[in-house]
Amino acid sequence: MPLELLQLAATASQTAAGSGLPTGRMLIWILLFPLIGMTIWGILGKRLRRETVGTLASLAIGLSFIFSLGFFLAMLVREGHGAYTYTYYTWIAAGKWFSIPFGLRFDHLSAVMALVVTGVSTVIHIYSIGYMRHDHAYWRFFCYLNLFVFFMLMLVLGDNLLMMFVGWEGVGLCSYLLIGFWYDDRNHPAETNEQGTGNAIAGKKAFIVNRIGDFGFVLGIFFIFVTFSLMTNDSAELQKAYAGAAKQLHVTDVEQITPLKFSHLKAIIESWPEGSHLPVMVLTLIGIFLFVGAAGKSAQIPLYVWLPDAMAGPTPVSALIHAATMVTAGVYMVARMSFIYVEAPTAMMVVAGIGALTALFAATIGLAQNDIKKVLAYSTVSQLGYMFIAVGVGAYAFGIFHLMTHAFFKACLFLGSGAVIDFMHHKQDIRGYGGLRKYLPITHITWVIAAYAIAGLPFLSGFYSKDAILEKAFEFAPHGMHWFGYAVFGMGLAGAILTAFYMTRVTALTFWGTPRIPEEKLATFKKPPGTMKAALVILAFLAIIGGYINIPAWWSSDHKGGQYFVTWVQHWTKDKVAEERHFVQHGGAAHDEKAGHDEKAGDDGKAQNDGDKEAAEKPHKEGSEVHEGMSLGMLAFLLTLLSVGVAVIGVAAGMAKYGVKKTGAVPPAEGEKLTPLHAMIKNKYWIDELYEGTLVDPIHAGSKYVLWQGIDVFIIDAFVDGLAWFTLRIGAWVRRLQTGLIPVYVIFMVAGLVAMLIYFFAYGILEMPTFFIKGGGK
Amino acid sequence: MMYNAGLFQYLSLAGVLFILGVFGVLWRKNAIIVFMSIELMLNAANLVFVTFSRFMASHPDGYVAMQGHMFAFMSMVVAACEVAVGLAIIVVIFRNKKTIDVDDMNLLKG
Amino acid sequence: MNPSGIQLFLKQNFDIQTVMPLIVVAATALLVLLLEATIRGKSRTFLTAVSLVGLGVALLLTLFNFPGAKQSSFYGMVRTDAFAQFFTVIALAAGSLTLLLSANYLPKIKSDTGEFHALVLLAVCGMILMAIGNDLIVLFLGIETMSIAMYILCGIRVDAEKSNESSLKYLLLGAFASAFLLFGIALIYGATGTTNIEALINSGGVLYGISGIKEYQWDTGAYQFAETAAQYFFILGVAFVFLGFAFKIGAVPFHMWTPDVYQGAPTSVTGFMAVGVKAAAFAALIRVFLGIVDFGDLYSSNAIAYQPLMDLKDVLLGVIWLVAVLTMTLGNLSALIQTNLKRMLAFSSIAHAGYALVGVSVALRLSGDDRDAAVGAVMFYLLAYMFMNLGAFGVVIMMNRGNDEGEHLHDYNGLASYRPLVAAAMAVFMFSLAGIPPTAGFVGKFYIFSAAVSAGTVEGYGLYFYSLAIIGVLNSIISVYYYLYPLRNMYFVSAEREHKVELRPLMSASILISTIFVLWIGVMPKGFLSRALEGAKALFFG
Repeated sequence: MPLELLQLAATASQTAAGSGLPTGRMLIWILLFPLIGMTIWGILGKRLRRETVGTLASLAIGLSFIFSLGFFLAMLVREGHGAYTYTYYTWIAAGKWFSIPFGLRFDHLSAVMALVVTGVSTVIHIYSIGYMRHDHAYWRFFCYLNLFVFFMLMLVLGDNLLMMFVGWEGVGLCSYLLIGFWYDDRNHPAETNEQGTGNAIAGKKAFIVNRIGDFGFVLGIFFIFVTFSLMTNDSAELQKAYAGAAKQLHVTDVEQITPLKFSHLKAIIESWPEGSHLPVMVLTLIGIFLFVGAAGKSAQIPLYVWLPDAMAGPTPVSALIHAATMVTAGVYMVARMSFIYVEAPTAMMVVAGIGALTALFAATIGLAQNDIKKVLAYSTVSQLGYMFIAVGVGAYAFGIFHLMTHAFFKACLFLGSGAVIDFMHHKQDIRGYGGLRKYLPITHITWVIAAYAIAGLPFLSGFYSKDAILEKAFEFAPHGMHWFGYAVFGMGLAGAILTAFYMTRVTALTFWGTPRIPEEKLATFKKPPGTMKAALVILAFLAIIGGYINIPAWWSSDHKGGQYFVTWVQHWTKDKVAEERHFVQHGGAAHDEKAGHDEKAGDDGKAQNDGDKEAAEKPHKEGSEVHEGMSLGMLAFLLTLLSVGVAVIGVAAGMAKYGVKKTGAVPPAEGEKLTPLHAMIKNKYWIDELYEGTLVDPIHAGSKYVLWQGIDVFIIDAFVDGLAWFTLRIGAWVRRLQTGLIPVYVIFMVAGLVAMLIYFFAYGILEMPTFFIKGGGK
Repeated sequence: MMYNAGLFQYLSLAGVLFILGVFGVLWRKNAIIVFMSIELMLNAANLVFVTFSRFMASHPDGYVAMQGHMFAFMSMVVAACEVAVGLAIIVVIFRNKKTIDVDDMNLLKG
Repeated sequence: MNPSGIQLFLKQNFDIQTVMPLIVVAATALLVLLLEATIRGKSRTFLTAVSLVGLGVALLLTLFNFPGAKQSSFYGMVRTDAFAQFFTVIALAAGSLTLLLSANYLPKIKSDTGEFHALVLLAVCGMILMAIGNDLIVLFLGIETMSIAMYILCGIRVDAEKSNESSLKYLLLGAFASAFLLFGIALIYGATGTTNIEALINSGGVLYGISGIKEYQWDTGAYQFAETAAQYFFILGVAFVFLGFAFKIGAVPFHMWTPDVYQGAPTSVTGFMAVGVKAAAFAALIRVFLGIVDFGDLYSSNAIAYQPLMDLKDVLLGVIWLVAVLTMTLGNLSALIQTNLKRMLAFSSIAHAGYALVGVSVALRLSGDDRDAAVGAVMFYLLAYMFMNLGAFGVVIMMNRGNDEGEHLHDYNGLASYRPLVAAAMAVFMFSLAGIPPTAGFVGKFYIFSAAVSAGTVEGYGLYFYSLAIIGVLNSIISVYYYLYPLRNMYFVSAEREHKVELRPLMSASILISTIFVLWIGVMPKGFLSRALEGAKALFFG
């Protein structure tokens, strides 16, 4: 229904405008507004008034949002919902086979991302006008923020891996700049500063941990190029695949296909010649390398440690970069490369497994944190884990769906926490809060909505997305291993209970009960300005309705009807689960088809053919056994009940411990004795200390004493300095030739000429006899 | 037999003039004389042009090459311009430094 | 002759459109001289404006109203192809940027005269002639027009001894080189019977010069000896002409004048010389020498000749290989120890000529696409070099306060703290000159060296071209040291005292334009490169 309505609206607006649809060339404007904004604030911001900077910066992003929306609507009314693509120019060209375009791709997947990024950014920009109102580097903040949006859009809209990588690094840079925004700790005590780590150090940590991930990402890109470029691999299969891809892409010449471009790579893999196998080992390796990059950017085990520390940045930054957009870039990337992951089940297992572990592990840490932003940070890590479960089990569209709903409710939560922190004079310890509902009613209501959305209570957006992910995880069976799917499902379910519990805990401790600081003091505190409230309300509204664009399959009769969002995104992603379900439902037919296909294709080797058949049959058999006698809708319904049940249990447990009575239980203050389990969780399993002790310190010591003071100073520096000294000596010697005397210069010129003539004559010396005897002539 | 100065003789003369010019530039210290030596070299080149042009006039293929004559005129104009500018520069230098010895022109070096 | 025949004749031989930019610039130069005489005492900014309008009109004519590809006119004297167009644009742009830079600089050095503008315009005329000249006569006239104007420009500070000395050195050495050039042209004329490059190739590889002279008597009646003599003259002429061009581009060992002259000349003139003269000389060098090697190919295909002429390409490759290596290395090594930024940039300009020569050597030896790519790379490099070098000189001018102040490296101490934008612009130019992405210099070097590497894959030339590329890259590494030195002073050394750096509008505009182009070319090189490749492809006859 909403889809039709949207189409109607788009058609109406189009006829109203009386002009044609936008052209792909205009896509660049989505990127240009933030870039222009960034440039202006960077150069002139200091001289402009605060309100001007804030308003215009929000306006720049707002324009980007409007353009994105326009393109989205245009896609809706377009014939076949075709994607908008435009190649502006060749960005890098080297030789025949390496040509990287500067092109933008606004397709079904990036449309969603662009809308989420620009939409949430606009809201958070508006919020920041209020939140940053006292900061002296107001203009710098908006400059960085606009720059971030620019890079994020480049990441999302770039039509090839290298542009994505530029955006990827760019958002990393902005993240670093904004985490350390209050780099001068004397003026700005860190918002999150438990171990006394400075803000700048937190920024550095984020940057360095991300480098580890980026290393994996780069390796993935290299592997893709090496494997799928005719320059490095001219196997017969690849050439056939190129020919097929050329046909599919309607290009005349295979030289125009560049394997780093998403659409081209997808076409290559999809037109892989029948009868030959994709290099699954390499694809698995590529998938894992790319996931290392994603794990760095999206804070997954073992690279999640930077995200909690990143809370040192201003709260709008935490909301925008470290909750809603940048950290989800990894999920987007995996969804973008879904055509590789579906061919590599092992890589999918890694993604789903790490995702499930992270979802559970981070949720347990969230149970015992007392810093309001830290709770939200671990919650973000945990929710990102859910997204990776989704993309790992092949439900890419659902991952993106959760990404979107999470952007709404988590941004709302962070902005709510920002309002609370602002109100409480930058105190972040929830043990010092309590009873704030009276003072911050709007913040309270929006917070509760968002908290229950993340907890997964029905009829709020988080329920629809998280429930769908768990359902897909349940059906996941890589290599026919159903236990893996069940394990992932179980961990996800456990995480969901914990999520509901810790969200209730933090809500109760913050807003409910009685204030833990004197009420007369609270009454003097300043309430947040209107811009902040407006942002909260918008996001809370989205957190409610965001889920309704994709209602569960069993709500509609044909198991497909309500899934507008997923159907939309599946234009790009290859949804493995959807196929498998189809396979299970119509098991026999599908099996016959597959078998027939195998026989057709496998003329070359009998043994191999048999193996294929076995592999093809296996999941089908086990699948039939498991789901025998139960309709799919029924199963989905039961799973939904289960997840609603755990959410309710979690919330109820939280209420029981913290929400009942007037005061509720308050977590023990610092220094009080904790139970061992509590201490372990509160100290985050000592993972930071573990990294510090096993990796950071030894590396640091090794770098300092061996590499720097040993090898660098004594060997490399000595060598380089010696070389430099030698070069400078030569330079000084050469300098003496430059006497400044004209005759000397003339001598050099004549000497040069004479040398040249001698060379000519010496070259011709063998020819001398003929010169005297007969010479040339015609 | 009547002796006619041929191509070889003219070219030899031009070559000698040119080399004289080069040595003049190398050995003389007075800027004006250095300059005159350069003019000598230019004139040697002009002589070569005119010589070739004159002797090519009776090419077997009927190929007439008059560019040499033209070129000589052009290079004479160029040389005249160069002299005008050059003398002006030398005069300025003499006014500032009271010398036009090229060996004294070594403020700029290294 | 019927009327339409006359029209056709005029169209073919007196097509005024082909020299329109030249005429506009020359007319503007005369107009400026006239205005200078009549409005004496008023601001010279007006003259700058008039000159810029003239250059602007010429630029528009060149960009949008240039005669079609491969058109030659005036009896083949000029040839207005895309190659000529490219270098005409470089000359006009260099002239415009120089005038912008000079507007606020000339009063400081007390040389605020109208002649300056006229002379810059006349030098631009010479450069345009060198770009469109298709005949050795025209090229010689172009070189001389340009050089004579430059001699005066170098000495425009009449009361400064260094300026005088710079002028005299340039004049004596330049005229000396010109004499060789002229003599070389004469010898080639004698050997081939023509001075026209197109005619040279259209001759089909026959030495039409003295080899056909019947009266010429040698003891043994040597018609054949005359042919051999013609071959000798040709080779000798090639060597002399090479000296002439190598002098203008500042190639080792004909480079010795460069640092002295550059240092002594007014800074804006130095910038103009470093980019304009060099680019024009490269234009002429490429056109003439590609013509010569093509002729050599044709000749050796139908006659047995003196060995160097038979293997003209290899011989020239040997010469230019050595010259390129020496030029790069000596330029960079000498620049390392300079403490005067202007002098350092002078040596660096020698090194850059060496990089461009790498491309030229590839172009001379190879043919087809490889040759186009190499010529295109050189053209692209010269364009990029124009913006980055003029920009760097612009910053030096901005720092100047009348005398030599602002040229020494320690004058830049702490500039970033009190003039962050100027320092940032300087950083962009230095990064570009050092060849660090994402600047124009990096892309330029990349194309040159990749042309060399791809030429190295040609059978038998791996040693030559790979080694060129490797030496070039090593040289780039050396150069990073001295390019980053000013940056170190600007950003990491605190200022003992702040220089008064005035941000005057015209000068700032010039630097801003250079910065924009350096970054633009660095980020989106494709459009510029394709124009350069177009020029390279238009260059060849037939």
